[in-house]
Amino acid sequence: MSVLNCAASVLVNWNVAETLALGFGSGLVTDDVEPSFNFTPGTGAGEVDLHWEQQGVVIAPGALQTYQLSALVDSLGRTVNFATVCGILVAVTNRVPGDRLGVGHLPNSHGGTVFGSPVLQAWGTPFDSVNGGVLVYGLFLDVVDQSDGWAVLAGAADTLPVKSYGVNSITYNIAFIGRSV
Amino acid sequence: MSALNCSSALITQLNTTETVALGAASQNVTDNIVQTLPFANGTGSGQIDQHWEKTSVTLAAGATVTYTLSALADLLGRTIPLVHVAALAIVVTSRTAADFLTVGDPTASLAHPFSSHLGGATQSIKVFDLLVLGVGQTDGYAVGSGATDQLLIKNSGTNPITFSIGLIGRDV
Repeated sequence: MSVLNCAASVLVNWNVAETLALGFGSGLVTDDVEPSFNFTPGTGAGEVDLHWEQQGVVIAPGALQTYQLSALVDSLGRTVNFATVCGILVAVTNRVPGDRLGVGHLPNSHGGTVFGSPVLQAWGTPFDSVNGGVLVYGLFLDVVDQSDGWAVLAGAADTLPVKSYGVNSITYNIAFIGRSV
Repeated sequence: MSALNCSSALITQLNTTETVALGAASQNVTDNIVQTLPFANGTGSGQIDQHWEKTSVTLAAGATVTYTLSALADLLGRTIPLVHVAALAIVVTSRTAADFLTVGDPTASLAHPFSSHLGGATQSIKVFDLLVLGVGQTDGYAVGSGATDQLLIKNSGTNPITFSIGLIGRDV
């Protein structure tokens, strides 16, 4: 797959409001933080030339979904070959309380759910270990800017598992941005 | 520390724009993924009654900082006793290329590490620029006071890193 002529941006709005009481009065104090990242087209620092998204993924209870980052297929049927990942987003859009996803190489047994053999060609660089991962109930977003990124090694360390640690189906969106080099 | 009269909204947006060529023509196609997690005030589903933030934390190369989530001290000197974390955000505001934070306790250096967002007590996440975790509903990442309440952040780079951190959650 040749590079794509694409750009990406990530924006987070973290807003916390508290009503503070002082004597007989009170006031609303708002803390608003909006980190943002803009990636222009290319393969250099702060640039991307690949993106891939899948929306409305429904994973059955106890099921496993794998994403081979070196050879993802997008909605246009194109093969997207990440060599460097600059951003990961997993956003759960429908779930029952208590249910969650495991993104990465979490234990094969967690909360009563038992999986089979570990995923081959494990991709674990965001988690500092091929045996690492994060539990996602609602949202997981991790972004790498500048010239950095998480390396993807085709055929060796390129497969990210997403497991359902739940007893009901979970629906989520997943997206990656990055570079072909 | 009694419950705080607070609320929150966490909105994340990932936008990609691609110029798609077809024959002699081309078209920009934009894909927006927006996730909103609102948190009203309280201790019930989708609610929070605690929040804590620390901005402009600078760690020297190799240095660590430990946050005891069951007894954080905020800017007003209040003790924030998180029992469930509803959302966590770490934003790196200054770093040198190749430097990153390690969030977690991979070397088992803590007596009671906070790891309910991870698969194990010695797992960790690399943060170069941004990490956001959000929960919602009745769930939350559990904090066990005196047992699983220490969040370790290490500068795994070779230059100073400056970051801000925010946590929202409940005291039950």
